[in-house]
Amino acid sequence: MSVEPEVPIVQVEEVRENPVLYKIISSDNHVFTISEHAVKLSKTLWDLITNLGLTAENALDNPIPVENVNGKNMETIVQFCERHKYDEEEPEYTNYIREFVLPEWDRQLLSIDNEELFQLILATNYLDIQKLMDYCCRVIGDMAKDKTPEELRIIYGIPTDAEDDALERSASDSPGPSG
Amino acid sequence: MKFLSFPTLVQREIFDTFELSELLILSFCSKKLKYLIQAIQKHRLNKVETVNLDGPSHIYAYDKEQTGVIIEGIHTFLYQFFGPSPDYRVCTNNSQPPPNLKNINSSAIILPDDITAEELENCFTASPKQEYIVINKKTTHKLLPNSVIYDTDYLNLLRCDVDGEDVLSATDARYKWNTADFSHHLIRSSDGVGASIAITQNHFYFVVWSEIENPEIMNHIK
Repeated sequence: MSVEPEVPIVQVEEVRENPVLYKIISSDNHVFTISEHAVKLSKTLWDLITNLGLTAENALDNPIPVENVNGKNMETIVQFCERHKYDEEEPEYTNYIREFVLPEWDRQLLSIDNEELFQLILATNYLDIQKLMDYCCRVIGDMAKDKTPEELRIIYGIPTDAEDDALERSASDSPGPSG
Repeated sequence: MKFLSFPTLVQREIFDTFELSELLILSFCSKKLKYLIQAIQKHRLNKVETVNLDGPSHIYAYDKEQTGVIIEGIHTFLYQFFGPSPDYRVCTNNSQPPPNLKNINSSAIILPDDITAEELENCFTASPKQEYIVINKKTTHKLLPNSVIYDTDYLNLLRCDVDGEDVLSATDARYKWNTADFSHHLIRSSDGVGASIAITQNHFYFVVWSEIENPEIMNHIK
């Protein structure tokens, strides 16, 4: 007859309810708290936390300033990271085209206007959050479906050849730093 | 959004979500964008093996008299975009003669009924030495004795009422064939040159081949 060892039972959910929290300050001085699992999705932030030697004890007393990301984008990013913090790691993609289905929750989160999406992608790139980058790029790519070149030019803000030429001419006509 | 202001890594990730056909349409937006796509999607563009110049899958309005110029413009753009490595193939139905384009590797064409030998000739002057040509035509037709079509590596004339002797005397072309189709083979023992013949109700096939370069044929014959 076997005897069950007496070990304390720790529910996984309990651990999840008591995470280590970090404080992040956006460029416009908004303060956000984010759990350890969530912040690990950002390679930039996690490297910073590791290098600063932040621990469970001192994390909340040492907010991390992020100069390149404003409060609005940081809010989206924190929401995203908290939502996906327990996701399994994605397998390496072998095809050139990344094949995945964009979940509805994320599609809703990223249903923002073009300029906001542009800024969010720059922030995501800076914070190095691969999953959010994949999702944002998918949203940008989906905008191109069944569009004409003229429509694409407007959506992506692509100047015409004539506009590029004019810009180049004006750049070459303008005096340099010494002139 | 200013797509061109994204860092290159981001642009690359966005392009990775595009199908090749979508990248091509995107490249129509501007020269600058076309060069960008070529630069950072080179690894994908280099994998393209064949570019088929086929009938349009969408309907476009254009001046019919400008058809040749339009097709040439599209082909030039595609050639610049994908580069010289893919096989460029012309496929046409019987509504119009095939366009006379440079850098074409093969053609599979159904000729219009009223095309003359000279008009057919003019369709191939820009790319005379193609790897493979299939011509499909119902009506009687005679190729010119010095036709550029004879310069092709593989020639397949379907339903063409051509003079077999003319073709055999004028061409070094090999015929696209399958050994199983041939019932008569000859091999010259002195140099290993073989010849195979097949005759059906509508076709006559004559192939000259090298024993050394085609061991699979020898296996089939044995």
